[in-house]
Amino acid sequence: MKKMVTILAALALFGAGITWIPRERNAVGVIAEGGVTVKVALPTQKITRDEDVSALDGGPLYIGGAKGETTGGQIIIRPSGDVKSYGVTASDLTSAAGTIGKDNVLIYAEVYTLATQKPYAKILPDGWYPDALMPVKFLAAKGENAVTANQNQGFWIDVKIPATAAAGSYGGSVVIDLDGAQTTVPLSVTVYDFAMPSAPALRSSYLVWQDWLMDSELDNTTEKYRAYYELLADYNISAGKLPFTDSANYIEALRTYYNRVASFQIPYRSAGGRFNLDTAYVAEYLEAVARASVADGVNYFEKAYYYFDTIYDEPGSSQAKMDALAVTVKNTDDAEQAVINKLVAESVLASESDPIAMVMKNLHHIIPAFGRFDRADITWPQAVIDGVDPCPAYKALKTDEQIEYFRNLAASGTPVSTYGCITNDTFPNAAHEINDYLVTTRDLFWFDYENGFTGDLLWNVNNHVNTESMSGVRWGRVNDLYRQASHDTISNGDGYMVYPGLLYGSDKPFASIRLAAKRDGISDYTYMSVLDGLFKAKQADYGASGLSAQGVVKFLNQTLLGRGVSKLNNNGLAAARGVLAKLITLANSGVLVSGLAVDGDKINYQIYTPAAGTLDVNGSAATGTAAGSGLRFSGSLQMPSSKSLDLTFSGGAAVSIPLSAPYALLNAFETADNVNAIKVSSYAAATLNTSSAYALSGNSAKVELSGHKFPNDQATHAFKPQFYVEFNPDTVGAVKFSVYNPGATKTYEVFLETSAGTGTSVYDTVKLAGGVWTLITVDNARIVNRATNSFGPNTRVGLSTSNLLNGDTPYTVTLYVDNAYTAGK
Amino acid sequence: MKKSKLRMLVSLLLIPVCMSASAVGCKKKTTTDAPPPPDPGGPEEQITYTDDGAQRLMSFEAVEELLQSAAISAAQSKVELNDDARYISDGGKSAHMRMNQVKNTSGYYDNSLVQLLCNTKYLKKADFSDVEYLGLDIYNNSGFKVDFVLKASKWLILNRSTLDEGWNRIQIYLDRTTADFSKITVFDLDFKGGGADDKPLDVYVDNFRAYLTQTPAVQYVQDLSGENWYTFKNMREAYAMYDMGGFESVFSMPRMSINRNTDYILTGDASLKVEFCKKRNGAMDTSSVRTADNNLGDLNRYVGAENWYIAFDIYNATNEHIKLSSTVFSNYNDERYGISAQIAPHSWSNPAETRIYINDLKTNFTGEALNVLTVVFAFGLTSPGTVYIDSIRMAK
Repeated sequence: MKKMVTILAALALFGAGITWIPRERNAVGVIAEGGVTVKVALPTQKITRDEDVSALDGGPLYIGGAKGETTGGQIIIRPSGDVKSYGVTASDLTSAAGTIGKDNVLIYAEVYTLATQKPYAKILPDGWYPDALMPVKFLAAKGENAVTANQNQGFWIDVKIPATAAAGSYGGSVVIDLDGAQTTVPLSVTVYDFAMPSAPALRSSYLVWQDWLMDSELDNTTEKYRAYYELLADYNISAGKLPFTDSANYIEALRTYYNRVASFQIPYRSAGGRFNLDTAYVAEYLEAVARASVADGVNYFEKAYYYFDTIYDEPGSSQAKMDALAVTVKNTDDAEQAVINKLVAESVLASESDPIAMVMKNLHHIIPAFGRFDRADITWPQAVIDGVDPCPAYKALKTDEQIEYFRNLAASGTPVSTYGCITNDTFPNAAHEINDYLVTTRDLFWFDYENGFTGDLLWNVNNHVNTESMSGVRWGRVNDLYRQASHDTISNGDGYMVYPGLLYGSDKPFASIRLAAKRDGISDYTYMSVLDGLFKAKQADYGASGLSAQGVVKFLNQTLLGRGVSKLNNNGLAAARGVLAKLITLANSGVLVSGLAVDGDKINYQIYTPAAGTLDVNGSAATGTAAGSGLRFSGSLQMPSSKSLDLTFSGGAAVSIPLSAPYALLNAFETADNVNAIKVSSYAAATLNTSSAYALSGNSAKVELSGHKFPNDQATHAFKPQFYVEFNPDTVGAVKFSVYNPGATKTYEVFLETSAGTGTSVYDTVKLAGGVWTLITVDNARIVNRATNSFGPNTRVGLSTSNLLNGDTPYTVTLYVDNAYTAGK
Repeated sequence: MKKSKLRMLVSLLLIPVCMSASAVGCKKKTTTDAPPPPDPGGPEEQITYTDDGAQRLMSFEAVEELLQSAAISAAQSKVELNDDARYISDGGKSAHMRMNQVKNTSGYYDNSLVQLLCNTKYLKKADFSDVEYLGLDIYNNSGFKVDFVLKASKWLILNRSTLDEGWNRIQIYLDRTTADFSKITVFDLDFKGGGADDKPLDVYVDNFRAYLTQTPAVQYVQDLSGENWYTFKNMREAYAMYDMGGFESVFSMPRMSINRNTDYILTGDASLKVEFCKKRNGAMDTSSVRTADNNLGDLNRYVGAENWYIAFDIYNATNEHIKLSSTVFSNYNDERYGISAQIAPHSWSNPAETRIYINDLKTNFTGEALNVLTVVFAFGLTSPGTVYIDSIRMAK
C-alpha cells in the first residue's frame, strides 16, 4: 500500500512535468537531497547528455504499435547530484483485455558518445549524443551505470508486443532506482488492431562486413556473424548475406531466415580482383536455392537479389567500370541459364518457364548510384539497364527532376532502392550521422513509399575500425568504440549502427538509437504496405482498379516532408503513424480513405465503405453512391476548427485524422500598400497592376526587373535582378504565390533568404512559360535548402534571374505576382 | 563506397567546402564549452620486465589489449584470452588464436596475419633502436607445423621459421647496423598452415618482449658516391633491393639474403641471394626484384664519349633458361628503357649482354629523364628457384 501511494504521487507529479523529490528513503546520495527531473521523449528525438530538458513532456510514456511489432520511446532523467548506481525495471502491462508480461518491456541505457564537427557531420553542435543502446546489466557489470549531477541519462524503452496480444490500451510502469531511491514513470501502451507481417515490407541490404568483426569482437566466425544478422533481423533489416559458412549449410540458413527478412543476397566471391566474378560459385548457390525451392514449394528467389559489392561497387563513376559491370551482368545471366538448363535436363524443373526459373532469370543486381542512368559522359550498356536496380544515394534525390526520374523508373517496374553512404547521410537527406536529426531517418521511409521506392541500402553497420588511420596497419584502431563518435575523422557514425558486445561481456552486439529509428521507419513503411494491401484487396469489390493507399500516404507526408526534405516534425510523425494505424483498422472493416486534400479552407475527401453501414464525417451522416458492391463517399467540407477529419463507420469508434494547416492569404496585392510588401533589387520596381488581364482576381503586383552593366565585369556578372516577399518563420512552414509571365518562356531561381540577407539559398529553379500563370510552392520554406543544407530561419522567398543583358545592353522583363499564401509549420 | 576512395574524396572536397564556407560567412556550429575529447592514450602504463630481464611489450592479458594493440586478419577466426597455465608463458593469460585460412565470400586469405601495433595504448614502444633481441612465445596447438614470418613496419623481415607443435620460444636478433629501428609502426606475425580442408591454425601467443642494450646503434650506409653501387657486403644493401610486390603472400615473396659462398660471387666477398617461390596453388609467384626508389639518382653525369653503362652479374642457379629483362624506369613520364639477356642454367650472365648504356638511355629518354627511379630485373621463372645478383655498378 505504501508503495502504491508512492507510485500515485509520482504519477501525479510526473503528469505535471515537475521535479520529484523522494521523501521516504534516507538514501545516501543526492537523490534524497536534491531530486531528479524525469521526462519522456519521442523515439525520433536525440536528447544530448547536457542539454536543457525542461521543455520535454513529463510523462507518461506513450508507445503504440501493432501486434507482433517492437517499438519504443525514451525516458530521460536528470539528477541534481551524482548518481553512483542506477537500475531500471518494468512492470507487467495490463488492460481489461489481458496482460503483456514485463519480459516484453526491453530496457536499454543510452550510452553517450562525443561528436565534434567533422567534414560530413556538422549539422548539430558538438556534444555528447546518445547512440548505443545497452541493457543496464552490462553497464552495471563495469560500474558504468552512473550519472553525473545535472547531466541527462536516457533510457530507451522498447515494448515487444506479442502477436497474440489483444488490441487496446495497456498500462504499466517503469521504475528507476537511483542509489536506492526509486522513481516511477507510468507507461501507456496502445496495441493497434492489426498484426505486422512476419517479414517487413521494405527490402534492405545493410552490410555487415564479417572480416571487421575481428576488429571489435575478436571473432569473425559465422556464429558471430549470425548474432549480428539476428540483431538486424530483429530491427526489420536484412544484413544482405545470410549467415552461412559454405554451400553445405547455406540452405539451412535460407530456410531459417526466409520468413523473417524481406530480402537476401545470393552469395558470390571474386575470382581475383575487381570485376572478376567467380560465376561457378554463384551458379552453385543458384542451383542450391532452386532445388530448395522445388523441395519446399517456396520460390525462394522471390526475395533474392545480387549485390556484388566487392566486384562492382559504385560503377557509375567511369565508363570502364560500367562496361565491366555489363560483363558481370552477362556472366550472371549466363550462370542462371546454365543452372536452369541443368535442372530442366534433370527434370527438377519442368521447363524454362517454370516460375522458379522465371524468377531466377529476373534476379537483378542492386547498384549504388549517385545520379541518373543518363549521365551525359557515361553510357549505361543495355545489359546494365536491363539487369540492375539502381540505388540512388540520398543526396542524389535532391532535385524534383531527380526524384521524378527515379519515381518514373519505379513506376515502370524497375525496383529502386535508396542508398546511404557517407557523403550524403546528412540533413536534409536521411541522416545517419550522430550529430544530426534522427527524425530524418524515419522520414526517409515515408519518402520511399510515396515515390514507389522499395528498398534501402547501407554500405556498412559495423565499421569498428579507423578507416582513415591505416599507416602501417590494415585498419586503424578506434580508441573508444562506444564513446568516440568518429571512427574515421571525417564523419560521426558513418558505417556503424551496431556496437560490439565483447568489451561489455555480451555475446550479442548492441543496437543504437539510429538503428531503432531505421526499425521504426521500416515498420512505418510496412504499415503503409499493409494498408495498401487492404486497398488492393478491395479493388474488385468497389469497382475501382486504381485503388491504392498512395494518395493518403502522400497526404500524410505533407506534414513530414517538403519536396523530399524532412520538416523535422517529431510530433507530426508520431501523429501520422497513429493515423496510419487507424486507417488500417478502418480498412480492415472495409472503410478505405482513398483521397484527402486540403484546398484553401476546404477539405476534399473520397472514402469507400461496404454497402451495409453508415458513415459519419465530422459528425454528419454522409451520403454515398454505389461503387461496385460498396459505397463511395466523395465530398468537400469546410475546414473545422479542430483541423481534423473525424470518421465514424456504423457507430464504431471515431477515427480522427489531423489535417495539415491550411494556407492563409498573405497578400492579394490589391492596393499599393499591399504591393509595397514586395521588395525588389536595384534597377527594379514593383507597382500596382489594375488590369484584370494580369490578375487572378482583382488587382496584382507588376514587377519589372532590369539588367545593369556595371563598370566592373565581376559586378556585372554577379548582379541578379530579383524580388521577394517576407514571411514570419516562427509561424510559417510553406509559402505559395502565383506569377504570370507575359513574355517569352524564361527560367528563374526560387530563392530563400534569411532576414539579414545572409544565407541565401536556391530552393528550386522554375521555368515560367509565357502567357500563363505559374504557381510557385515552397513547402519547406522555414528550414533548409536541399542542395546546400543551409538552415534558416528563412524569412524571404522570391524569384531571381541572372543579369538581363543583351551583350552590354540591359533589358527589362515584366512579371505579375498575385495571391501569396502561407501555411503553418 | 570504399574507404580508400573516401580518403581521397575528402582531401579533394575539403578545400572547396572550406572555401565556400568562408565565402558565405557560414557560422561553425560549436558550443562554447565543448567537452574534452577522449584521451587517446589512456593512462600511462608502467614499464615492466620479465624474469629474464626483458622489457615486457605485450603480455596479452586483456581483451582491450587485443583490440587496441593488435589487428588480426583471418577468415572464420576467433581470438580469446586463455587462462590455462599450460599455454601461458608470462602473466596470467595468453592470446588463443584459432584462425582459418579459407575462401570466404568476398576474397581469399592465404595466410593469417596478426599485427601488433606500436605506439598504441598497450604497446607504447615505437623506438626499438635500443633493442638487441626481440622475444615471442608461441604455442602451436594446430596438430601440424606452421610457417611463421615476423616483419617490422611491413617490410623488414626479422624472422622466418617453422613453428613446431608445442612451445616455440622465438628470439630474434635485431641487426641494428642494417636498418633504422627507431620508428617501428607495426610488427606483422604471419602464419601459414592448415587451410579449408584442415583444422584451424591454432596457436597461443604470449610474452612479446624486448631485450635492451646500452650499445648505441651504428648503421651501415650504402655508398653510392662511386661507381660500385651494390656490393652486397651487408644486409643494408640487401634491403636496398626491393621485391616487385604483387606477390600472393609473405610466404611466397622473393627471399633475399647475403651470400658469402664464393661459388656465387664474382666481385668482392658477397652477393645477393634471391629465392623465388611458388604460390599456394602451385603456380609461380612473382620472380622480379628492383633497386630501391631513387637510389641511383641522376645519371646525366655518365653521358658522353666514355660510353658508361650499368653493369651487373647474375648467376642462374635454377634448372631453366632465364630470359632476363632489365629495365630502367625514369622518374619522369613513366619512361623506361630495357634490355634482354639469356642466362643458361647454373651459369653466370654474359657481361656483354647485360650492359645498359647510359647513352642509350639518353637517346631513349627525354629531357631530365636520366633521373632514375629504379632498375628492374625480371627473371620470368616458371618454377621455384634461386638467382644471385652481384655487383651492380657503373662501368665503361
